[in-house]
Amino acid sequence: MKKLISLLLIGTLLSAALTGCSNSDSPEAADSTTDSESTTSEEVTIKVATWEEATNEALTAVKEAFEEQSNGIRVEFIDIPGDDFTDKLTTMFNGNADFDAAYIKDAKSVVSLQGKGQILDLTPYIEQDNIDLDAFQGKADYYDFDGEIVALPVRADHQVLFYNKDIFDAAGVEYPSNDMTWAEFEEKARELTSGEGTDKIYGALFHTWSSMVTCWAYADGNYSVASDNHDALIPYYEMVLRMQDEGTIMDYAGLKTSAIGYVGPFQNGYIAMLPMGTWTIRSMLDATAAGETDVNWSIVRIPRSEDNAPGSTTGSVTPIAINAASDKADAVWEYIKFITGGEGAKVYASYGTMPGMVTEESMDILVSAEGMPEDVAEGLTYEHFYMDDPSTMDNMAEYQTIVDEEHDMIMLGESSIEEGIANMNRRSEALQ
Amino acid sequence: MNKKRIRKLETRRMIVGWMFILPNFIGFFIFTLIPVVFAFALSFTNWDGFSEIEFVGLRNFTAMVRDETFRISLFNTIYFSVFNIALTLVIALGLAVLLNKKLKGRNFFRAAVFFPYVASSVAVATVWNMLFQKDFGPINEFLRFAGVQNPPGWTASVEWAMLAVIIVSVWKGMGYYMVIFLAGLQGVPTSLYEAATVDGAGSWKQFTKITVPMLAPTNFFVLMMLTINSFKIFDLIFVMTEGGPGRATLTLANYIYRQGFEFWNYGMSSAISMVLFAIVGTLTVIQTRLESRWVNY
Repeated sequence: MKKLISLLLIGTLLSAALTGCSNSDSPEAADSTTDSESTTSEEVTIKVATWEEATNEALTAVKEAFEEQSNGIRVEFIDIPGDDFTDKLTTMFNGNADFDAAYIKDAKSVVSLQGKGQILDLTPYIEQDNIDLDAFQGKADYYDFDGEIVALPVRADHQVLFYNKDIFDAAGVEYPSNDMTWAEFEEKARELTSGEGTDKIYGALFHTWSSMVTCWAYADGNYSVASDNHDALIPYYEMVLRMQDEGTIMDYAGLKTSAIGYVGPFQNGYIAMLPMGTWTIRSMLDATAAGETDVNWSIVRIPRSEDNAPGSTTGSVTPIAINAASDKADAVWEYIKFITGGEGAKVYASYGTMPGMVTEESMDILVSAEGMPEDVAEGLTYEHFYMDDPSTMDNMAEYQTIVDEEHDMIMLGESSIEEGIANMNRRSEALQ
Repeated sequence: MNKKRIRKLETRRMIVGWMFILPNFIGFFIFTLIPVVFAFALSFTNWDGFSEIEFVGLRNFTAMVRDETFRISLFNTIYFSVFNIALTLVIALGLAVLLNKKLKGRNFFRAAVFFPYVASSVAVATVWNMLFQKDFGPINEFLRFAGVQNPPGWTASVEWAMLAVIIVSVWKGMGYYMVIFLAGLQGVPTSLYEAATVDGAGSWKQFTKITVPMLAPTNFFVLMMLTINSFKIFDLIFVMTEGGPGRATLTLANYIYRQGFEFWNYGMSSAISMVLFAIVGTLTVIQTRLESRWVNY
């Protein structure tokens, strides 16, 4: 017994020594940076957590544009692999790591971080600098916690309809309009489908994500994945399954069990219409520039249901927040103000990516980006933006998993629509 | 004086002994003992990794019993295990007996059968996923060629997905267990077979009356390892089906991962892992008890 106790003691001491080592790291590091600040002029370096910096040219470009006009504020990215980002960020916040701000990937983290008081209330800064929140077209409201705005949208992608003009021309079908209903979309898809086997041209492609059905209900403004009533999805499932039966869209099971994806089929020219997020613009521009595709494409607004007002869309937002423990909050705010404001928007737009704040200037830059089709301007606009992953929802991941699993069952024909929706409702209710 | 010296020597020897086990013990303490104890404690709490840890008693366990997804994943785990254990055992033993004979190219075949075991699970799962592809996968192409009108949907079908995973798992694991059986077979004295041949026993009789009983200790070891490995199946499913379609291939280990790292319910995740631990532990104890009955020498 005595031996066991002494062994345990040794172990505890050793582990204490080890954790002690790792703890002492951060204050030292912080000290050294403050030292260098005081000695070398007025330069301040802020550390910002982000993911996959290397593949995100726009991110670096905005940072460089900021540094050029800022008075000695330097930005250093802490680059984290995308898949581990949320885990790592949590550990960094809980472990008092030395960083000043973070781009946020997973909507749920905003709720938790706000709840724990780990991110700063930006409202005083917003008031001080008279930031017009309306310019975010409702996107900033998702970060408003009883009057405390804790994050601001940097980037926001929304759903649009990509289409292949050559297929429309060949079939003699009129191009889609910026105010088209889903019924008209379905009819067009029918007219555009032709051929057999490997040469088959499909009227449309719905990617395998459940959001490729739920988003359309979101845009109607009366649905959320995090609810115990999913009946709003029924008309959309009926449409998608009907199209699958008629063969006017690619088969779900085939897409799911192969690595085909959605960009490939569209770029290879056998998909006439592709409902997808604006992030695909970048892939299209890159592939065209690299000569990988010669598809003659363009964009219109996402179709709408009969009873919905025109111009509604859904999308996702990448916000940025300040670490409440940072002692450089003022400098970080300067950065946030720049990247989420009109200037940052212009830089993002020049890379063919959608900024969080859409201004006329940034829109002009976006539509005139190298390789951008001429007639996309109106297609990129929207009247109402509904977030497809509301950050204020608790248990979001659980709800999402239920919808994903039942979506799989419905789309594979393993459940009927009624069974699938009834399962969604029953399982969501059990969560509450 | 003398007594004191002896005690001093004893202490010194003890310290030396400790020093020998210390490097291993530190690793065990930090990376195994602390996490296991912590996971056990966490199973009685509600914790999302961000907020305060909240003690909830047995609530995770009662919630688990009501949780439909837990019941489904428990059933799936048992379904997978039963077939994986039975098929791997039979096929590995068959291969071992076959490749124990003096065949041409015996070493080549032994290596070929063992090879999948060495390959990375992720690579194996990805390649098999391509083979199982519903429309243009080689397996279904072959089945259609062989006259099967409606070949199975494999990973895109609730009925077939688990079977697809079992096939890959058996294929990947059989080589390892074959090697263990081969080692066991080397230990069976040839004189027994010679005597049996003289007495006029056929090869099937020799297999059932000599090979199988003499392999009992090996059988026991293989069965135990297979049980443990089957119940903790994770990697193949994670890559091949992610638990789908729907929840058709969701196993306990995958559900533990999902609760912990997708839903941030560390308490529930730990509670399920405790249940999995209890199941595997109980099965191992039962098997150890039964060993004395099987192994007659």
